[in-house]
Amino acid sequence: MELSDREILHVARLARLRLTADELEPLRQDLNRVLDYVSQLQSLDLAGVEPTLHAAADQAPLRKDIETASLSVAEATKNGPKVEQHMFLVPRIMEGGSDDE
Amino acid sequence: MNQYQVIVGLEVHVELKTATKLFCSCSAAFGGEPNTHTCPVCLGMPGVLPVINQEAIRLATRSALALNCTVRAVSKFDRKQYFYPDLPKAYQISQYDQPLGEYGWVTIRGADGAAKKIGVRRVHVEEDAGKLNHLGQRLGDATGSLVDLNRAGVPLIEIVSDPDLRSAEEARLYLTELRAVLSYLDISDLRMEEGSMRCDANVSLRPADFQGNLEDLPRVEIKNVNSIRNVQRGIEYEVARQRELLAAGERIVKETRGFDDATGKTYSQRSKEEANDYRYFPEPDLPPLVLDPQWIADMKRGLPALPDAIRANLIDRGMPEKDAEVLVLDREAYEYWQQATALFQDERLVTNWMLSDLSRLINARGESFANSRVRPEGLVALLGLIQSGTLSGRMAKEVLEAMFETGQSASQVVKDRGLSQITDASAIQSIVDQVLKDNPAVVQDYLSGKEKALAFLVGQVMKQTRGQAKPDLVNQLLKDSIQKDYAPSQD
Repeated sequence: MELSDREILHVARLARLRLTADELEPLRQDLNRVLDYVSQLQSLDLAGVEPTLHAAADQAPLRKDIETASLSVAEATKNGPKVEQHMFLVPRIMEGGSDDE
Repeated sequence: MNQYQVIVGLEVHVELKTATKLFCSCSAAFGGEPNTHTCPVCLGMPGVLPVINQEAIRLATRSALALNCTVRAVSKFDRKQYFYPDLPKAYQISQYDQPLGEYGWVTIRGADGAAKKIGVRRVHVEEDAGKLNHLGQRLGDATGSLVDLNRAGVPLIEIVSDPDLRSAEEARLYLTELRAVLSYLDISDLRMEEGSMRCDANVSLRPADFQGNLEDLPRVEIKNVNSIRNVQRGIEYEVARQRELLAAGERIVKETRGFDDATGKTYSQRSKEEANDYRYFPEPDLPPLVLDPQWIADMKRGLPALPDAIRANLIDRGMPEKDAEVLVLDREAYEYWQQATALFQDERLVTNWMLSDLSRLINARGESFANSRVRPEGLVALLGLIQSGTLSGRMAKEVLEAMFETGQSASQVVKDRGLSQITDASAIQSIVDQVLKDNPAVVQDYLSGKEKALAFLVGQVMKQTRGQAKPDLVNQLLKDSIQKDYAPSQD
């Protein structure tokens, strides 16, 4: 299986990676090796085998709906590169520049 | 020219009324000072783990069942991945291919009364994103945005309809009915203006000769419209816009559009030419959600009466459909009606007074039946005074207004204003005699067969008694007196 330039650039864009032309080829080789490794699964007959959705517990524990203390605003915003009016200041959001819903 | 059929599907997000967020114990309350309801989990810090709020699951299950969905005993959560500043983890925990509820429906009724089932494809649980405050008039010219993560992680259900709606009007009916159903469940505030209920509309036009899958039609999504009325307006505009484009031989571009309340127009926000690629995969931090089938069955049995059943019951009891509709769509009004009719036999009188005079007073003040100063017991006491003849309908209106203004009881208002109706014939007779004496010509008109003349005489007596005489008594006394004193002798 060989990934096309287009596929690689698409995945890079989704991951917000800007690739230079000379980064493309090594990345293709890396990704292809990953895919080859995983594609060993294709050789198995998995008809009738339930997908493993989770490695650990078989059932999610539930929590009671009881409020506990939140962080202080200062603590909550401590890691923000820019904070104004107790909120995270982010640069201008470009329309069409996102893959959000 | 090609004929087109309007195809609309709606996605409705509803914030669940829990105390805490979906995956952490921060407050889920609306508003609050920015970033005061946050913790490492909802801030998306590394190394934290989500734990599901059982109350959110209870409310979501209740909703799915009320919408006639089949609820899965085992469902799972998935990661929906995208970058946006309101999403700290860069993924939303949602449900993809095993939603909590599926295959439901909502019944709508058009003006012709015909019922139509609108499919509810799925009801799934997910977390809300934070709130962006753009520094500028709108996103396009903002210089930056301030992120408040109080809302990040608040539990939502997303209710996805099938593309069964064929007009903006049907979309309005669906949303109205959906909101009514949910209102009886106590699962959400359902305030569209505050964002606790939000709607996205998918609109496309199907050419008459198109036989393929509806999903393949170029589709425009109108995002986050803040009222049912505006959803309807947005769809109307979008249908007209797409028709024009197609008539001009242009093609419809798959895109996301916003709705501008002021102009009633939709505007392009983002082209969806490049298909969304959310790379959903099973949430590794959450094992499957497993519900006890018995618990689901018990919850289904425990659902309250819902609009369809309430409507049918009211109509069975002889209520006009139009009145039943008004009551059903306003849960507070319906509960008020239930309390009042539990205390008072004449349901029709209760309905009439609630939906005319009391509604008018409540609406004029922007209040609701739940917080109206006149409680059901108060209204019923007033209606009792009408029934006993103490008050005429007209006087009762005045008393109701005073009750509404002052919070006094009906009997107190009647006493303070000396309003009780004169029901004693002897007290009215002398006025009747005087009015007849003063208006001989009118009396003759009446005797010559002009029934309307009597109304004039009644009016004169009412005027002299300052409206306090009982009208049908006045009527009777006038007729009797004319017969006795003015009519030519029969023998």
